[in-house]
Amino acid sequence: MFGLICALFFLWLMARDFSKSGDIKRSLLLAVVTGSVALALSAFQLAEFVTFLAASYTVHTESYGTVVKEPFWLLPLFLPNFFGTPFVSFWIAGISPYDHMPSSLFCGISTVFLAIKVLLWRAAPNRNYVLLFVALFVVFAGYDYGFPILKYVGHFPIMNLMSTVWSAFVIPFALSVLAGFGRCFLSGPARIRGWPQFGNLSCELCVSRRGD
Amino acid sequence: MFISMLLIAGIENYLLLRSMGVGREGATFSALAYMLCQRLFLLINMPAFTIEALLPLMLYAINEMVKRKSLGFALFAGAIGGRTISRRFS
Repeated sequence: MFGLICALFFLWLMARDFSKSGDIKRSLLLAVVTGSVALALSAFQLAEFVTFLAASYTVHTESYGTVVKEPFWLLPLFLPNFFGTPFVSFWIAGISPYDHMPSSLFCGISTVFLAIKVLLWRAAPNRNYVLLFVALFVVFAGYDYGFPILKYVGHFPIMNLMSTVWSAFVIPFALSVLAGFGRCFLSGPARIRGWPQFGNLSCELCVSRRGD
Repeated sequence: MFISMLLIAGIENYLLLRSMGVGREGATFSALAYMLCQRLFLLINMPAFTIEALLPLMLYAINEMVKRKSLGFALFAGAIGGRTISRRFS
């Protein structure tokens, strides 16, 4: 998942760069350098992994990634521990409190508000980045939580080898990035400057973490 | 060790947002929101934690690599990628 997101980000940056300068050779060359260094550094570990993969009894079966949650499991995005305390008990039946998915979402309620704000803010700085992270959020939230059409992402090769638990982190990550862009909206011409600015930020975070 | 990794995840997110042209306040907010999110605390003792904590740094390196056409950032991104792959398949 890490590699997939990095590759998507790179391809998007390269497409943007190409539309501006019309040259992608150097970017491609640098990408090859990056890939080679990554492979060289991890070659030993990868070789060992491939060697012992066949003997593993915990190897993931195909279609592992096709199992997705229902959309209502997204509720903890707005209220932490909505379904109960992780690792203790959930009041809702059909899921173990040891399931990471419901507890993987919450990253502050003001984060959600600021992320929504940036969606509505047409003059956001570097709006292209905003659109990219919105797309990431929609695709991963839609896939992990069974939105129509997007729930079939798990049927694609590679994606079907991995549980949705390991891709759920993209949701709070994309939200926090979007909230950063949304925070710029509050730093307009009438912005608070100096030390009070940090007080302001702390208050926002306290409000954000109030329910945690 | 884990607490410092959380702090590093926040700093990485700050760098990523700054590299994307966001102001200091926005980047700080985003960094704190990510480093304090429930997910990272939940996975703090799992191998996936390192991978998730390093994602912002990798994206920052890729962004700077494409922006500056810098070989240094390409090598840096490769080093993080190598570290992550090793961790994933360990």
